Amino acid sequence: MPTGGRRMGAARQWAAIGQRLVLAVVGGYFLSAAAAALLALGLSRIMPRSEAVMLMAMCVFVIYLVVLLWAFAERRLLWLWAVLGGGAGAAQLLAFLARRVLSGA
Amino acid sequence: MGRGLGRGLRAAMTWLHTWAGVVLGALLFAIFWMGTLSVFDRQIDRWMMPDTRIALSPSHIMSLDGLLPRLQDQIGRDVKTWWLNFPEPRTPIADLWYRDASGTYHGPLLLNPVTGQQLPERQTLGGSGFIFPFHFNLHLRWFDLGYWLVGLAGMAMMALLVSGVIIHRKIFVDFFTFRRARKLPRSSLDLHNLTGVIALPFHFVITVSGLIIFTDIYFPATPGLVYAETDNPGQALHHEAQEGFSRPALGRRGGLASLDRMIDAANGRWNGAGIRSLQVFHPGDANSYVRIDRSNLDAIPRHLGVIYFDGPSGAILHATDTPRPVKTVERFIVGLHFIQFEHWPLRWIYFVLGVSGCVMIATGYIYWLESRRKRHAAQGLAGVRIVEGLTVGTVTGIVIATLAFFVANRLLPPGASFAGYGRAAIEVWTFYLVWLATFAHAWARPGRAWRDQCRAIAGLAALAVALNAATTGDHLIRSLAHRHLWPVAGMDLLLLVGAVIAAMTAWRLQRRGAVSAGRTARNGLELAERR
Repeated sequence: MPTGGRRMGAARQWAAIGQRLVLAVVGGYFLSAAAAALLALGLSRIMPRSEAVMLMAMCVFVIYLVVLLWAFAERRLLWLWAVLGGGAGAAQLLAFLARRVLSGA
Repeated sequence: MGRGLGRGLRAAMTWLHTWAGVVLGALLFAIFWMGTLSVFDRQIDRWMMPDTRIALSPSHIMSLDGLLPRLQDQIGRDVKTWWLNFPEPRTPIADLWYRDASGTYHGPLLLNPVTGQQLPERQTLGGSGFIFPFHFNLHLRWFDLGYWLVGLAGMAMMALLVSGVIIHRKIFVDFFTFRRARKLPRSSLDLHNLTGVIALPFHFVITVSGLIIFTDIYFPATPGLVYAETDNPGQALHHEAQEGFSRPALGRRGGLASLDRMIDAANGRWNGAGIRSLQVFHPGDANSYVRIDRSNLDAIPRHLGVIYFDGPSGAILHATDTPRPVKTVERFIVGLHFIQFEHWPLRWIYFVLGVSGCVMIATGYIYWLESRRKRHAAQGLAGVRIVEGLTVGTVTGIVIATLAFFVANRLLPPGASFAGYGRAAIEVWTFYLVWLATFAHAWARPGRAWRDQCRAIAGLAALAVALNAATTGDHLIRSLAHRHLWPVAGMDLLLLVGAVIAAMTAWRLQRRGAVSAGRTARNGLELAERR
């Protein structure tokens, strides 16, 4: 892995790769999923709601792809934790709260 | 962006490309191989189901009103819904499905579309029942595991394509570069780049459209907020997006107007485009209704036109001819992937591009192997040995397994069963057991696995053609002479082309093996003389 550097031990290097992989695939998935649902909600204000959802149901794969590639291009592991760990958690929480409010109304 | 960042990005993308390719390439190859064959799944069906090699003329299609009494006797009168898929040029049979009072689905019952007679049970999954679903769910239905693995491979494919482009310095030069005479690592990399670059738009579109087809499975939460107030947001979305129609049964008996007349009315509205399917909801009820779908042979988008008729009166209740823009785009993308429209040149181009995708994945593996072989041997690493077996089983192994599936189909007698498994299941078991055996062989005989397996491909492909002629009488001379047997002829011809290519490859591998063995022997001799 290019982030490792030669000084880093093999075990630490593989641990870093493992974190990156999980953050990219799992964190990136939940971030993309929540983003798609929230963006569809926003878009439903300017187009018929079924169209807004269909649009995001297609675009979500591009979002996920960009997130995946970024996760392997970004060198700083801490920054990955912030965006793909923290960001995914925050987006999921926001979507959860929005769903509670909207379904209760 | 500075030079340093550019270099760092290229290094990161090279790492991603290498690892994602080695780990998921085998799965991707299986998906590409099955998808490539699925382009001709209906033709494979005709080859594997000789009872369905029917000469179809559009003017002789049965009357549904005439068929209805017999059909009702067959499925019973107490069904929730039944539907009939109409024959198409590539599928000269009609298939009937129904849902009984308890809610269980039954089907397909295959009908001869000219006579309306029921055809014998097919006793094989064929191309559309085995090869096509393997392409998108690997037949792993446990928790939709197969869908998720294919989705993971699909995302990896897109990441591989983008990272592959970033790794490239001279993408246009590579377009015209194939140094066949160079050493194997270089020529395999050239071929990897050539197939990757030429077919790049196809690979990207086919992958993203394949993912979009199953967006409901991969991202089920997308409609969750917009349709938060409904119990089932996904269902609510589809009902609204498709502008569908439904109404409950009344519980009172009612008649059914002429289905033939409804078909004529629909056909008139669609300027004679033809009918794809007809479905009757709540048959026998006063609130019954009929859904007729337009045939989409002349257009890329799927499910373009739908008309709902009132069952008892035959009046039009609801029609959707053109959906909203985004939905139309989605149907276009999905239709582009399914290629159910009638377009022979495009169908062959899909096939060739699909094969080029297989070549791209295989040469990627070969490049990985050949550029590491010496280093791994020197360092005592097992990587090359493991990946080589994986590659052989993945590439030639799945071809052998597929051919064994075809051969088993022609060898097994009707009604065959073994250990409680029916004929169709034995064919599928043949596929998986032979595939496993090819991996075992590849790991056990690393030096000669490619050559042996190429020979097996040549032998099995030729055997399949001979068995088709022997068991059905539709040999090439006969199948080429009759228009309705062209699917069979096409399959036989492709099998023969495959046999020739595999035999030539095996011969060249043997010759090269002999040359390098001779070189090793000479070197040993020189070494011995020097001592």
